[in-house]
Amino acid sequence: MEKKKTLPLDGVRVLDLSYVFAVPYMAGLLSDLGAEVIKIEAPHKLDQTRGRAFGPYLDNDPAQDSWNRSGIFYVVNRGKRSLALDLGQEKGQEIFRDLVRKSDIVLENYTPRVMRKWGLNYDELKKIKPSLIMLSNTGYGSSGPWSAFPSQGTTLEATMGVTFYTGYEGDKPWKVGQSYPDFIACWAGMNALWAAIVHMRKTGEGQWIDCGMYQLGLSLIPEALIQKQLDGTDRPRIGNEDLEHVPSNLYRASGNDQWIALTVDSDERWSKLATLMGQPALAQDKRYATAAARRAHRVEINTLVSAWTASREVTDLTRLLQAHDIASGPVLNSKDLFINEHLQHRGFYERVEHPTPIGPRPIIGRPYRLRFRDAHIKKPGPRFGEDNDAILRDILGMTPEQIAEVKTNKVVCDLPTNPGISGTMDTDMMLRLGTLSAVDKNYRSIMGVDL
Amino acid sequence: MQHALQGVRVLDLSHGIAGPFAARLLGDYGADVIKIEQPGRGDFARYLAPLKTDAAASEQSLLFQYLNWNKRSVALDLRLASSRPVLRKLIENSDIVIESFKPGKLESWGYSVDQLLEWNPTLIVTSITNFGQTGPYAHYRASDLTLQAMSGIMAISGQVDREPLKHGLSQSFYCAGLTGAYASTMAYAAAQVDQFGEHVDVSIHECLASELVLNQSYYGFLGAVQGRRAVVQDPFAGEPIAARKGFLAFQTGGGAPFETLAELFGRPEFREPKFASPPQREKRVPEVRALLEECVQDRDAKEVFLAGASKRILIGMVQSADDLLNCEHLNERQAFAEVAHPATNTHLQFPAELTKLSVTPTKVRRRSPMLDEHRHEILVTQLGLNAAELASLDVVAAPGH
Repeated sequence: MEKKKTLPLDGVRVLDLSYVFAVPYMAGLLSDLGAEVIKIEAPHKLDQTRGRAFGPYLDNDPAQDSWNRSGIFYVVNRGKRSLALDLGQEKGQEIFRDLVRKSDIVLENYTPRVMRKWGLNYDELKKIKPSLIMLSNTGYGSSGPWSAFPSQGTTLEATMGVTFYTGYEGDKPWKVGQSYPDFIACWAGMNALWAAIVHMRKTGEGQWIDCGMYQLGLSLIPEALIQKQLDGTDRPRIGNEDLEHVPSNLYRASGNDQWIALTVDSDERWSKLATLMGQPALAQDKRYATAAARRAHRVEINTLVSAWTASREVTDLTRLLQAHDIASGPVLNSKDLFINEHLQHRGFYERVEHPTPIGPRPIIGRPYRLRFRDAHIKKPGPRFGEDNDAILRDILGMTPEQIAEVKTNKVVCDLPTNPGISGTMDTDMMLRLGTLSAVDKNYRSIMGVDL
Repeated sequence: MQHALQGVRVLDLSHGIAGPFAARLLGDYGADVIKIEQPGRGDFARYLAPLKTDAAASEQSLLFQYLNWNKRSVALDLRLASSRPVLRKLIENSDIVIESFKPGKLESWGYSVDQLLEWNPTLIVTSITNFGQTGPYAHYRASDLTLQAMSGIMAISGQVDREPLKHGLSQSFYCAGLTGAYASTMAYAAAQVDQFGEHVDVSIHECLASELVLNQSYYGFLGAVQGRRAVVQDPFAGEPIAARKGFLAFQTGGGAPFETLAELFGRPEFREPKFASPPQREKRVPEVRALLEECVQDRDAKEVFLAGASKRILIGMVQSADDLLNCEHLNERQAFAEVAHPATNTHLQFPAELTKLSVTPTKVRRRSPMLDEHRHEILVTQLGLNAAELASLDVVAAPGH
């Protein structure tokens, strides 16, 4: 009989109690890799990604069920089922424990006191399922003087050290990107989870993973931590430039807000660039010929390169520079990425069919391809409480009467009991401020997902 | 002590930051990692700053030390036919190979993934490259800057009237290392079940692009292209706000109610109805920002951070390396480990533990190797090469060694 290639989490069930980005994304990826993931949502407290704070609501319309219309929710929570369960009630805790008996992994990101208060901390859950793997993600970890502090990625980015080394030259520290620490936590947590899975499959023994996001930042800035200990100096904030390689910077290209990034990392490549710029003599010029000389003339070099890029288009510049083996590429925005030829060729976005009113959407897959195993987004993210009945009936064997009773008592809810405020995004104001650069009415056809 | 990946054998053919960091993370979980380096020169990360310049040329990089502990090193020239039997033995005795050559390079030397899988059918080969193995950019040259530019992160970073801005230092490669490591363990776990090997094709570019879950939703669900940050930013969106000493970062939406700021700063204005909800505050950004700046300008960031966080306010403070190295919380958590190295005569504090596993904690079991340090131990003791085989390698492979 022919052997069959499997996804690594075929037959594995994951209970995901988490909110926002880091752990929900982890659970979404586990679903892509074969797991059945049940997102357990509190009836009285929506995941923020279902709410106004993140959004955006489909076509900026919160409609009657805003919690089922938030875009970010569907990206991060793809592939999951949803059970809206009140863990604050004893019956809710009992249902959860029954689910733990039939599951393999629990993921959560409450502050450390919450699971303990409910009697659902790892030491308790291990008693009913010794092979259980549980991951708790918190801002600062379960121990230490700051462990009770609340946190989210945006403010942690500053505290963890990345912000100090980020920013325009001569300016204050800057936050960059979006909730960067959440993604670091997602990947670091995945490392721990997979190590724990390997150990569990070998020994039958489960364990608890205590992930404190704050300390993850250290692993990303070793250069600065080492430099400080070596000679007491701090790595400077230098915008987009490189300490060693010059030029390595962004330069304005032709068109509206178009930028080309390029890095010259050898004298030979500087010579190539000088030739492309029509000034081959710059390669022999003593001020620029060596890496050390170029470091001493950053401003002049930036002026020379900008003068050359300013009248050229980013695509032409990229093609030309890459043809001469010089690291380069344009600053791409979210629209550029959706229609990018390389990402399309790679299948980075997966087309996921959502029920109406959302319909088909390209959703970010995983940043790696497997040659022999079919990792993929299995289904769209769930509507709130979408799988309540199926989970209680099929996994726990509850009767229709029992299900009706837990719903009457609001232990399990089909609708959020405290959805909070919804509202539209003020796109006109954002366009005026420049925090949005465009709103495309025909974005569906641009992405190729017309209904 | 038990290690989660005890008995897992990793062959690290990679160089630079991303691949070696991935291989080291597996070593931290207990895998036995053999690092193959180019004879004479070694991994180019051996020349990456910060450098201890009084050490031997190939042993100066303290960054290399961080990226390569829990490994042993053998110098082997993969371009030479005489290396082939040795590499074959190494492949046959490995579970995971991590490589970061340009796409097609290994194949050009006769080591295609198909060949490696023929030698070892349950092998996991993880390739970590700028844009992955396939597609129109597969052969593009890249830097941390160009990867961040093309990932979408820079388009939403920096001030709207200035140029787009990147994350500092070399973030792309650490992100890819984290992803490459877990993807390798994941594929290994799969192979343990079904006995099929795998080729994991990691794109550094996609690692960064996969962070943009919110920004991509703006377009994917609304058609809105997010730009950079406003000239006057909402002070509760994480922008550092200058205190007397240091900078603070604020967020709302979790933890304590907004009025708690009134209590923290002794300023009743934060209780005014005009600031009560995010939509109201968004209409008064300059006003609420000025108020917040006034509240912190005569206080030290750390004092406000501790007071605010104790009241469950979402607050951060900008910390430098020095602050982190002396942080009471990190010390209590034992986030740093001292790793001594004889080549540089140093004993530095390195960030050593990412997450705490209750049964199988990670550990720095050995310092980074000097170039070719474990040649005899691995080639003779472990692989059983005889004197003649070893000599033929030496002569051909490492003339300057």
